[in-house]
Amino acid sequence: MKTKYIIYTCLFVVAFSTACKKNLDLTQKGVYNTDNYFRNETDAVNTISGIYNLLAQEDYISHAETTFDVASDDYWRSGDHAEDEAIENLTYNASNAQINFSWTYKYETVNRSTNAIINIPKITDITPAIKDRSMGEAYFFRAFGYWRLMVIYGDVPIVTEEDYAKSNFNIPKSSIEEVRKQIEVDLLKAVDLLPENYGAADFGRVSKGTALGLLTKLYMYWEKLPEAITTGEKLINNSKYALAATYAENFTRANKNSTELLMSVQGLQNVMSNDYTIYYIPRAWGGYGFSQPLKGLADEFELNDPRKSATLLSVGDKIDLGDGKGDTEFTSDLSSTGFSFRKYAVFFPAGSSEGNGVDHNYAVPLMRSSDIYLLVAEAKIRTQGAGAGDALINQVRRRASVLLTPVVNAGMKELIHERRVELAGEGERHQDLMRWDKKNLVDIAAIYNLAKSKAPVDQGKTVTFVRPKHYYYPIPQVEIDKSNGVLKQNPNY
Amino acid sequence: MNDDGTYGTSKAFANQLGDINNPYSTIQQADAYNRKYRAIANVFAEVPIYKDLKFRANYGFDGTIGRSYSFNIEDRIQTRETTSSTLTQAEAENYSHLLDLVLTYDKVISKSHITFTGGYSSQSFRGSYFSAGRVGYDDTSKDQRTLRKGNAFLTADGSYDDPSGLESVFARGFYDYDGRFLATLTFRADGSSKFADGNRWGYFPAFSLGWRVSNEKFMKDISWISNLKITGGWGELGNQNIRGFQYASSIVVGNTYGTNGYTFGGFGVNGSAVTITANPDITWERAAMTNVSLEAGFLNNKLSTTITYFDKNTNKMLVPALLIGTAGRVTAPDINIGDMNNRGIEAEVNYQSGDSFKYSFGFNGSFIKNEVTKLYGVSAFIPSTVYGRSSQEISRTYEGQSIASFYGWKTAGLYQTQADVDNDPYLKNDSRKGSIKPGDVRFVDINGDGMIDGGDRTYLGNPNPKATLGFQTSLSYKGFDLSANLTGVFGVSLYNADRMQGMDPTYSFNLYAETLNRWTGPGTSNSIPRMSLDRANENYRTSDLFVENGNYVSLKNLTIGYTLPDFIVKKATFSSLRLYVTGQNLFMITNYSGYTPELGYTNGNRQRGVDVAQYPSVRSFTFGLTLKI
Repeated sequence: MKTKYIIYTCLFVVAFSTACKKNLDLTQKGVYNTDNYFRNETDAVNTISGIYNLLAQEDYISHAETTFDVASDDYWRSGDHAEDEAIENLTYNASNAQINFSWTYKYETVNRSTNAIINIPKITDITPAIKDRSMGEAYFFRAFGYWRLMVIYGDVPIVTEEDYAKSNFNIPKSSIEEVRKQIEVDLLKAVDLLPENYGAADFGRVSKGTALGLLTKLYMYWEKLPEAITTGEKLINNSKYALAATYAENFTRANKNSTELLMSVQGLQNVMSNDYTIYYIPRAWGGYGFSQPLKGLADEFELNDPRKSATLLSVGDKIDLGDGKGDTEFTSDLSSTGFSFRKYAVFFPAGSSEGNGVDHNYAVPLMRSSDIYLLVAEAKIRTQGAGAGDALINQVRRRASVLLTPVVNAGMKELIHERRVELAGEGERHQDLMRWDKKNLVDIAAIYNLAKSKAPVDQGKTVTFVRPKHYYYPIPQVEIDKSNGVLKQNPNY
Repeated sequence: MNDDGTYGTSKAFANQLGDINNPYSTIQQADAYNRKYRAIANVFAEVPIYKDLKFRANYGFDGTIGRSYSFNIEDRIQTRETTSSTLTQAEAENYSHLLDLVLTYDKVISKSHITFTGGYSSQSFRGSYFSAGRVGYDDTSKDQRTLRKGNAFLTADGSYDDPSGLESVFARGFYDYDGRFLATLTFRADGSSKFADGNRWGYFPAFSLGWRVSNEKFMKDISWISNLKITGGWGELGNQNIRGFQYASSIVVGNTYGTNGYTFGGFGVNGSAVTITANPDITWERAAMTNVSLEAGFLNNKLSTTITYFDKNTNKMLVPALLIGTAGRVTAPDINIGDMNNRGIEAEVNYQSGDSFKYSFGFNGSFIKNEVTKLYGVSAFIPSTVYGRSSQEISRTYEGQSIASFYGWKTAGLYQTQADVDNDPYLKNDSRKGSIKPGDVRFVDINGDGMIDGGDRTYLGNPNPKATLGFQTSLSYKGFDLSANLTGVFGVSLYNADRMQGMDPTYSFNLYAETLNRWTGPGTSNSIPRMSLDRANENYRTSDLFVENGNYVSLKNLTIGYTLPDFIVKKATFSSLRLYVTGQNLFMITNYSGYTPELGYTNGNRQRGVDVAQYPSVRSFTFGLTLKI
């Protein structure tokens, strides 16, 4: 009798402890974790696509990156974002929302890339070419993340692979020199690993040319001019990165097949919205009307330069909004400055079977070969003297229009003009001016106080560019607070 | 609405109405429902095993099926356009099982009464959902709003909910000697699927002792004391009420429409990313509570009172980690962030009496002090959600403060003259000095570095009330009855974030009327800044200008009833008939300027008392009749 009870009790205990264990050892359905992922090529490719995904986020590129050029004399912020106004007028502080967003988004790029760099090499079920490409993309994007961090904040923490694996994110800043070395190392790997170009199905991925382009830019910002020339020429001498036939086609849907487009944010109707058009076109046309070009920029274009009409909408210009109403005139009430960016105003052609209104099938350019042409031209002028960049500048000018007089014996003045008109609204101007100001090539403080550098509503304001404070933005105050003393604020903030 | 049945557009007047749609059209066009069907079942069996030993098994089931439907009609005339009509329908199911197995031994031996309970309990929770939607409706009339009629695919989604399981074993002993001495001893072990092996089980002991003084012989002669009992105890409890699987990181594979996808060559592709980082060390939050309580009744319990002192220490408090920015945009897991203390007194006094005129009065009050006593490791503070376009921080809790404290800049009036600005030591080194004008807010330079920046932010107030008081009464005379319930909250600060935004002219919304009393010249106002689109001084940053006293007294409920006399009712074959009228939230006395000082929590327990335009409690009147047959 007693034995029977003991057996029952034991069975009871065993049954329940098994049931109990089962109820507590649950597995997550529909979600992976770091232990059961990274099995095959699909996982590797998806991990990389997840890095590109960030480019399409509102607070990553389309709105946020524009903000960091808004201080320039090219355009006025418009819109109702207080943080943008502070950045434009150089009154921002370390609690500025845009400065906060930017920090976390760029580190998200760094971390997604690091995650790929740690895990993709462990995958065996993968085509070697895809593995190389994926690793090249991961190295490129880690460099790109640090590049943006370096340009915006200067000295920033470097999250090593070991830090990432241990979730150790409270890290002190590295010097800008170390950050640049980190970017260089990753870009050199990306140059080696990435293919030169892609078939139609992969258009939009970063290539060897993208890595060479960014490396050229890095050397320019690093003031390593000879290295910039060597690197940039590898790109310029490769026909796979040739300038597009016309300037304007860089800002149409046709740019998807362009060799000039080194890096872009890919839009797709009903899938990935082309936020740039929405942000830039006037409110009355269904956009937000941000980033309105200033008269100073409009005046910079030479009279017969077709880049003006490809870049700007001026009062009286006509454009088909794809709304079936034919051409709509750009009127003065549509913008506070009298201008709007034409570059990003992309609409379906009239009667298109695909849709109407804003055409989201647009690749928003983030880096173009012409930018690299002009950087190499600049490096040549600055190392070899006036005239050394003529050939490259004239290639860019001839592409714009054969009617433009070729430059002869061009110095920095001509180069600065050329960069401004060629790259207006593409996020280069403020950084270019600061780069040149550091080398006493321009006086940025004087430029920003010119009346033509400000919107009509801001004419009464005094914009004070303080050196060296404003060369870099502050580290977000909230990050300093969170770090418990590990992260130190940039000087002068 | 226009005469012809169309809606007015918020685009009118060049969008000067702000970044909103015509609210009337928004309400009229809304077409959505969210229905829930719930089934609850419970069965049990109780078996006497041997003399004083009983076995009880209990099984419970709780299942919910929810269905939702939402049709958004194409609307291109408003500022925020809906470019194409969409219909989305979703269905979700959630269910839980509960199994309790309990053995009870109950024995009385002369003056001793012993009860021993031992048991096992198992709970599991599961769920899933799916949704589907289409976009583009040629015919938007109400009877054609089906998924089938939509032109194009919009969404199809489905997933499992976060499953979880709880396993517990417990034992409880209860001892009563002669109705005078009471003792309880409890021990429980709880295992939760939300924690990884090794951190999974929590062990929670508790005991209490009581002395019913009124049952002692020496109290027999004191007739006016009808009940007197002193109890005291200590016990621990666990909390695992958080999202599951936080011990592992989550990698989410999203399609091109979803979170991590992208497009290449004009085709959408899937993408994946770590969306939640792991906290492998996550474990039970524990609360250890000590309490001492005195319960007394006088004059045959006509007058009764209870006073309790409690001291509750929450250890390893579970809140979302303070995620440092270098971690990126991932979601932070919960972490055992620190310790918190709540201590105070709860008291209650009730008096009831009367014969044909019956009446009762009751007062209650609780006086609580909350403090975050310790934050572990790298947690510098407990963060909370941000507010508005500029993502303003409002609540941030540091060690030594009450949870959900307000955090921002202190102010010292407005600058009245340019000389005030020029001579202000607070701005001595501030590069914005040239942009600050009379009529701007004078923020206080807390750290004395001669400029106003993030380093000058400090504690601004505590949204946790010091005292909550209540008063209840009920009166009845003949057929009439009346009951009322008053609540008062005292010693509380509120943050009026809605006012902060509503006063700011740089927002594209309509403004608060009180901006009419703004600063327009020296001496005109010392609290409402000049109206300007110039944001150099950020007059509407988080500051003590928007911290208000949130004390209030509210009549929550008043009911007056009349029960018809028997002789009338009997004729109609009812046994009783009562007519009554009830009013809820009839009045509130407060100096708070917002809609309501009853703001509650807006981000777990980490943000409280922040006015984000919460709906006030509804004032309602109910007329009713109670019929007994």
